[in-house]
Formats: sequence, C-alpha cells, structure tokens
Amino acid sequence: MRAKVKSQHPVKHSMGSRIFDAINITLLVLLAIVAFYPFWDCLVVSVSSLKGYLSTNVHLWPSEWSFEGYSYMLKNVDLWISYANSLFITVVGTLINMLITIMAAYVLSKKDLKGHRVLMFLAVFTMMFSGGIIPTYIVVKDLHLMNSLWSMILPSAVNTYNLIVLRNFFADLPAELEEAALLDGCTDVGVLFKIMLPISKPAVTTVTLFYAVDHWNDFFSAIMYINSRTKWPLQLFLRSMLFENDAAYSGGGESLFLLGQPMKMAAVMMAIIPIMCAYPFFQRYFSKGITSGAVKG
Amino acid sequence: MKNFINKKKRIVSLLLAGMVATTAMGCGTKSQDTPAQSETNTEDAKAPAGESGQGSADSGERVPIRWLTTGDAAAEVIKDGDRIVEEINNRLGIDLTVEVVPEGNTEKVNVAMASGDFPDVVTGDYGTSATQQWIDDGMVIALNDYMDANPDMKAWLESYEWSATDGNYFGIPFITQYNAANSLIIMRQDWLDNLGMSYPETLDDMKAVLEAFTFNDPDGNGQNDTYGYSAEKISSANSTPFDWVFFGHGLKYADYALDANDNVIPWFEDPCFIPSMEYIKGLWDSGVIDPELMLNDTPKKEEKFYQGKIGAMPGALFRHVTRHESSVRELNPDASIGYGHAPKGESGTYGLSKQGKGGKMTCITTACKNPAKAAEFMNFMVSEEGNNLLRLGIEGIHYTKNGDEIVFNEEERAKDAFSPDGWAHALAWGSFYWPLESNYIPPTDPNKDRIQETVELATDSQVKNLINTRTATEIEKASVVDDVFVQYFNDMIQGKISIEEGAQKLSEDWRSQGGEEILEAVNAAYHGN
Repeated sequence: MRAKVKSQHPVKHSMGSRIFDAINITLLVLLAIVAFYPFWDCLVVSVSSLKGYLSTNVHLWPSEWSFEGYSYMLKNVDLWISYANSLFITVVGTLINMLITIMAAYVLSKKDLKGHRVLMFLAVFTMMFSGGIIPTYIVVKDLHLMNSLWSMILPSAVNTYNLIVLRNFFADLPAELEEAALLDGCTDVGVLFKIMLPISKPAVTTVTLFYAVDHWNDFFSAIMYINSRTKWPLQLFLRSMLFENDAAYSGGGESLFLLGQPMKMAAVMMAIIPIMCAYPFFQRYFSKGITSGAVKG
Repeated sequence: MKNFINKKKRIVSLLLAGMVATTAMGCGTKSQDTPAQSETNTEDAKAPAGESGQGSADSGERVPIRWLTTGDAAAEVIKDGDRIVEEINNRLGIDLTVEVVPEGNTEKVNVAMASGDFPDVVTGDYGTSATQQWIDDGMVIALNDYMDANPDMKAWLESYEWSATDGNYFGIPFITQYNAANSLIIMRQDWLDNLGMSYPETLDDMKAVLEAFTFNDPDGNGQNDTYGYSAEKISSANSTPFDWVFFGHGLKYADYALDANDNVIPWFEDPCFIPSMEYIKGLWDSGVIDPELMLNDTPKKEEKFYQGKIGAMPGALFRHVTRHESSVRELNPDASIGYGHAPKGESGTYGLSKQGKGGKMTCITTACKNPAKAAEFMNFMVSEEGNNLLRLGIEGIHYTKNGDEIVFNEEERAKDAFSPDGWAHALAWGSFYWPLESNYIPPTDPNKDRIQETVELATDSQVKNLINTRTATEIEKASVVDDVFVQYFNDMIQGKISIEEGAQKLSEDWRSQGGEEILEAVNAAYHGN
C-alpha cells in the first residue's frame, strides 16, 4: 500500500520548488512567444490583404485574408528556377560536403596516422586565417567556375568546424569495433560505411543539417560569382524582391517598390518553409549530435 | 599487428585518394565548359552574332565588349537574342556582353577589379575610395583621346568638367539627383480640407498645420491618435528629417557654409543652425512629431502615413505618386495626398532636397583591346540615338508613330527586356541615367502631368552644393564625423543638452575627430575651383 502511494507521489515538491518551477515555466513560455511571434507575424501578414495589414500593428490573425502574395510568387517562373537551383546546390553540395568531410574526419581521427597533427593544424589554420574575398574570387575565376552553380558548392566543400565535430566523434568510438570488423573480413571502406557511419548517426545528421542550411541560406557566393538570373539561388531571388535599391527607388528605376509588405512576407515564408520542413526529421539526432563531438579537443 | 598497421595505411591512402578524386571530379565537371561557352551562358545579354537585319556586321569583324555594371538590378532579364542588344551590336559593329551584378552590388564590381578580372567597360560607384583606386592604380584609361570622335560623350564630360583629375576624364560620371529631385513634404490633403487649412507655405504655417494634425482630430474619429509629422531617422549630417527647417532659416548650400572670410565651414556652424534647432525642438516639445521618428526607416514611415497615424512626411514622389495615393486609400477610401514647395522662412528662403554628390562612373579598363570601340559604345549610350533605342525600342517593332504620337507594341516589347506600360529597356537605367534625371515618363502614362509636376516642384526645392565632389578625406572620415553629428542632433532635440551648448560641443568634437582635416581638404577644393 505504501509502495502504491509512493508511486503516485514520487517526489514531494516544496513550496519554494513549485514557485521556482512556475517562474521557470512562465519565463520559458514568454521566451518561446518572443521567439515564435516574429515567425507568426510574418505568416499572418503573408496571408493578409494590404488593407488588413495596415489596419493593425499587431498581427495575431488576418483581418482580411488574401493569398495574392503567394499567387504572385507562384506564377513567377524565375521563382521556380531559383528553387531548382537552390535544391541542386543544397542536395549536391551537402552530398559532396558529407562525402569529403566524413572521409577526412575518419582519417584524421586515427592517432597513428603519420602527420595527423600537421594535417589538423593546416585545417584549423583556415578557421583562423581565411583566404578572404579577393583570393577566393581569383581561385573561383581561375577554375572557370564563374557563373556556375559549382561556384557555390566547391569553394566550401569542407567546413573545418564540421570536420572537427565529426573527427572528435569518430575518435570517441571504440577501436575494438573496427578491429573486430577487420578480423571478420570487412574491408577498410566497409568498416567506415558499414560499421562507423551507422553508429555515428547523431553526429552525421547534425553536420548534414549544418551543411544543408548553409547552402540553402547562401546568397553572398551567388552575388560574387553568379550574374545570370537563370542561375540565381532562391535566397538571392527573394532578396532582390525585399531589398530596395535607394537610387532605383528615388530615381524611378524598375524597382519592385509596388510590392506591399504582405507580398514581401509571402516571399520570406517561401524561403524558410522548405528548410523548416527538414528540421523535424533531424530533430531527434540534433541535440545529441551537437554535443557529442564537442567535449574532446 | 603488422598486418593491421598495413591495413591502416591502406585505409589512409584509399580515403585520401577518394578525397582528391572527389574534388577533381567536381572541378572536372565544370572544366568541360570552356571559358567562351561559359560566357555565352552567363549573361543573358549576349546576342547571336550576325543574325539581324540592317547593316549587320560580320561576326568575325565584331569587336567583343564585355560590360560589367551595377545597372538596374530590378529591371527585366535580358535574354539571349534580345533585339535591342542585337541592334546595338549591329549599329556599332560590336559583340556586347552585359553582366549586371545581382542587387547592383558594388562590392562585386570592386572585387572583380581588385582581383584583376577586368571587363572592357566597367560601371562602379562614383566618388568612393574604390573607384578612386581604379584611377590611382592605372586600372582605367583616360577618355580624353576619344572625346573628339565621340561628341555626345564629349558634351557629357564637359558638363561635368569638375570631375576631371588633372585634366583627365577617367570615366563618364552620372551623379544621381544632380539636376533633378523628387522629394516633397507629402500631406494628407483630406485632413487639410477637414480642418479648413491649405498646404503650408511658410514655416509658421507648417507649425500651425502640424499642430492641427496632432490636436484637432483631423480624421474625425473623435480620438487623439494622430501626429503631425514623421520622417526617417537621421543617419548622417547630410540628411536630417528636418532639412527644410534649416533651408527655411537661410542655409544657403546643401553641403557646407561659408564664413565671413569666404572659408568653408560645416553647415551647422552657420548662424541659422541655432534658430533652426529651436524651431525643431519647439515642434518636438509640443508633441507634433512622431516619437518613434528616431527609429523609422522608409517603409515604416510610409506605413504610418498610409495608416493615418501621421499627416505629413517627406517622401519620394515621381513614380511613387500613384502608389502613395492608392496605399493611403486602402484604409480611407476618401483620402488624398497633397504636396507643394518646401515652406519658406521669414526671409523667403526655402529648400528640401540636397543636390546629389554620389552616383555611378563608367570607365574603360586597361584590359580593353579596342578602347576606341568601347568609347564609341559609351558615346552611343549617352546619345539621343541610344536613348531612343533603349526607351522606345525599334520603330516598326516595339513602337509605331501615329503623327507625333508614339504607339507602343507591348506584345513585342515583352519579348525583349522592356518593362511594361511603356517603361524602358533593362539597359536604359542605372549606369548613365535614371528616369528622374532624364525626365522620362512614358508618353502613354495617364498620370504623366501629375508626375512631372512633382518633379518640377521638388527640383525647385532642391538646394545646390557648394563643392561638387567629395574629397578623399571626406570619404575616409565621413562615418566618424557623421556619428558625432547624429549623437548631438538627437541629444539636442530630446533636451539632453541645451541647443547652445550642443551646437558648441558638436562643432568642437566634429572638428577634433576628423573635421579639421575635412575642412582643410574642402577649402583647398573650394579655393582651387
């Protein structure tokens, strides 16, 4: 009987503890609202008419529904071309990122690799002293990558931070697994791809998400290396709709000043929704992956 | 164990080889494109050679010209086979490739030039350290030798005689808002009508109107929920939300002032500064100014006007007239907008916009193999013939004439990079002109007269500069001294410091933090001129 009572009330909270919990929960809920409201405001404005948008400053619910912004965007052929470009850059870019990062991280995690400290130093050196815009531009130009989608993929094929995260994760894995697999006749490549990678899902998934988000959000590379609008990624296309050129605005150039805020917010939503949809699939690995490789230097 | 170590070595070799192969594969994929092929795909603006009608030059004789420009980034896309580009090629015997930088991003142009990726013709920002470096480092050539053969370019350059460096013109400058302006103080005309008032002509009238907008329930909703005036936050000494007050109080020039000895001094050391600040402080203290003025950007300011929260704002008109009026009618179908000259002070002086000093500069680079052809191309772009081609199109294809009347063929224009409703080709704006400076309104625009009226009023309210160009010292020190001005300006308005004390400290700090060097440079420029 006593045991039953205990299971119903496993811990007796003091008044102080309850107050502490209440304050904690209240603060976290407020924080969540503060974080969530800008997104909600953006969503509500994107489905409001201009009149509905102007009628209030706090947008909790559309006072007058309108999907004109989405309709305008969806009819725009350039948008779909930009989507295709961004998908290509994100998918192919992330695949290349992961292939190279995984192979390099695995090799560098082996302490008996001759010169592994030198190799790591060379990798880390690029974190502290990057080439800068002009040298990178020259490399891209000399590789004949200008105005090519590959200019947004190859120059950032490996991110050193992600390389270190994965290397540390691999280094923490028990060496006995690898030895056992080799003794059982597994090939070297097989050890990596059949043994090591399946047990490294949290780290690999996290790094994949990092790379994918970086590619999806990248617009600066496109500004630097791409001129043709048929090769613009989505972010550049949408930025061109959101950011007004002052000279064009005042000089009467062909700017997009006629677009109202609802249309601009529709553009923002179309940029963030696809990558947001990817998060739930990575969520369960994410928190584990982000910390797992971080404790070992 | 030895076998195990050997296997490890093989792993390393294999994986490193994999990395190299993967990287090489990535590069190899692109390397299948030759540079020439890549360029054909890149811009959009390359016309098929020798495919057009009259006087078509043989493609083998055509001179390739690659033009990198910030252009009008929001204009229509120039596609392969664009008939306007094709026509330019045919008329000039060139093979033009236009590369318009995304978002008009000047940094891209500067990086390309700094990395040695020179086009034949390049357009960058005028009056910046980057373009000055093009000249100093010999990246661009002087146009003087080509002026006689290109009369339109010559006339243009001679009208900007002050832009020459030691007598040499290193590019065609295009200063925005140099001879035209578009900003006026826009008011809710229906509020004025409700209050029985007219558009203010003097500073006193303006004060009365702003007070009535704030306290006399101009929208008739029975609530005290309106402010008289709002604007964009102050970002530099060159553009305050209350420039019209200073000009109304007698400030003579847009950029500097002169003391009794004909020396250039900062404009806020002019005697009109303190009475102007007192007028502004009076407005602020009486509560007729939007208290969020210090936070506003352009969209926020316009939004408040459209929402009926403010009754007056300085704003761009020209092509925006219709937009302002239709937006303000979203919530108030009976609303209308009014505008007029900037309000006059006691001595009759007035002004609102400041004459521009910045803009674009189009140059021929040292990499250009045929600078004479490049100069001919630039001459065409600033000629009447070029303007007509880029604005109207090709007669018989993009438009026809019915007597003096122009009739646009929108269907044909849409096939090339023309904007709808009679607006121009994508190459028309951004490098040598904006519609404002060229006073271009499509002849078919039903709102043409009203649009032109706003430009006339705004240009009449524009105040000229004392010195045409920005000196190198100004460019270098601008951000620091601007911060000093902004800080004191805000503190004086908000009462954190008295106006007399603020004006004195502003002057001292501005001069000590780089202002003295600026004055030395601008005095040299002024007296040199």
